[in-house]
Amino acid sequence: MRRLSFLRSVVAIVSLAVTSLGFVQAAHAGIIGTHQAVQGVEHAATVEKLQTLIASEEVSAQLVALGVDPAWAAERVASLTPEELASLDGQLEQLPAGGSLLAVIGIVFVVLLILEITGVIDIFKKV
Amino acid sequence: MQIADSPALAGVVAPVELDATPFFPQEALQCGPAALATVLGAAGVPALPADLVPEVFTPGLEGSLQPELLGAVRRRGLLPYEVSGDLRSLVAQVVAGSPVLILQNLGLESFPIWHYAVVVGLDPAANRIILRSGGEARLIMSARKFLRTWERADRWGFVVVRPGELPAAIEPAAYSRAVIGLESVGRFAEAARAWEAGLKITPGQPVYLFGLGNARYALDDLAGARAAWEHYVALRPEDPSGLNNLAVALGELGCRERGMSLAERALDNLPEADPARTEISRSLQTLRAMPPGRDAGNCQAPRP
Repeated sequence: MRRLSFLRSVVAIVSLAVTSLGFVQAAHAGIIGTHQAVQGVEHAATVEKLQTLIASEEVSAQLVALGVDPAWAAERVASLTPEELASLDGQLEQLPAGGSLLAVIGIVFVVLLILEITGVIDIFKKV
Repeated sequence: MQIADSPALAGVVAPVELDATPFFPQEALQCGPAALATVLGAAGVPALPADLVPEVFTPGLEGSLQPELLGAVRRRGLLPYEVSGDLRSLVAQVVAGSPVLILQNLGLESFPIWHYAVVVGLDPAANRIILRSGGEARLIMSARKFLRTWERADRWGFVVVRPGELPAAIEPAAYSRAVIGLESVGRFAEAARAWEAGLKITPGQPVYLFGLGNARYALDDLAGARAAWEHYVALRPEDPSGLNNLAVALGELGCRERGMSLAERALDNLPEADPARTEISRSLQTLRAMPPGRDAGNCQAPRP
């Protein structure tokens, strides 16, 4: 798995480097982005662009693995900022994903009911 | 903390409730799409939860991730302004007429149950908060209970702002972050409008000026970009990023000599190991490679 994602990174770097070199030079010759300026220019712009593109590839693949339609996955990562991509990459299953309370069943339900009655939590009024 | 303690509520005696906020009863796991449709509709950009499901919902997680809600707002050319951590900011938004999409942890820290809802009303006298939540159009919750569940979700929330309009109780850092988000996903026209709106109330805000220059440059408005960066460099004469960008714009406007001197000044201010040297050296090379000639009179810095 680790090896696979490493390979994917290498493929991504190579293919992006090839396809985007001309673009980076021509479209924004030497302009420093606001994001970079605010961050104190930690990386050269091209390095940052490359890292962001790799993170988009990774997060997009992770979303597809979690059942998101591939076309939408690409569209979705394109609307995220570099920080958001970095925060999601490899962390999708650890981060808060607001859903619903309907999945709560069985023994968990009983425990939650007790907690609810004792006032520790507050979930049953929202469904 | 009582909601009545918030300065935005000073003088507001009557309860506030944004009745016109749409309501979409949540289906199954879709509190993300339902809450998002609620705040988009309130901002005048209607969307149906069912249409938002493929945009924000992740089946394998049985939920929607916070950045994806922000991304869906940006995709519509709108600004997601985060009120994270600040009850005062949240209250100020509602008082100013904007419902706030918030994340709650209705479970425990060790057994979280994440839920999105929308704050649409406040009742300071009773210290209660009114939410569009799940299947309920008007869920009334004590402020204490709300704060506890909001606290467990790191007090996260946002409002949808149309570019050109400003959020209530605006914080330059939070506002800049929101507009930079639009810039980084390529919505330059909207970013330019948002920076201009910010500059109307704080004319010398350096980040707004820098960002406005970038948005205009991306929109091929060279003269406009130069004007914004000239103002920025006048405020921060030694900042290498500002000097670099202004130098590039000047070069393209036929002001090669002044551009080169600004790029050289930018390099003088940078330590040898700074990664930005690569960018700025490249700008300088590009300027040097341009056909030599005297700068015209309009190349000088504008008089303040």
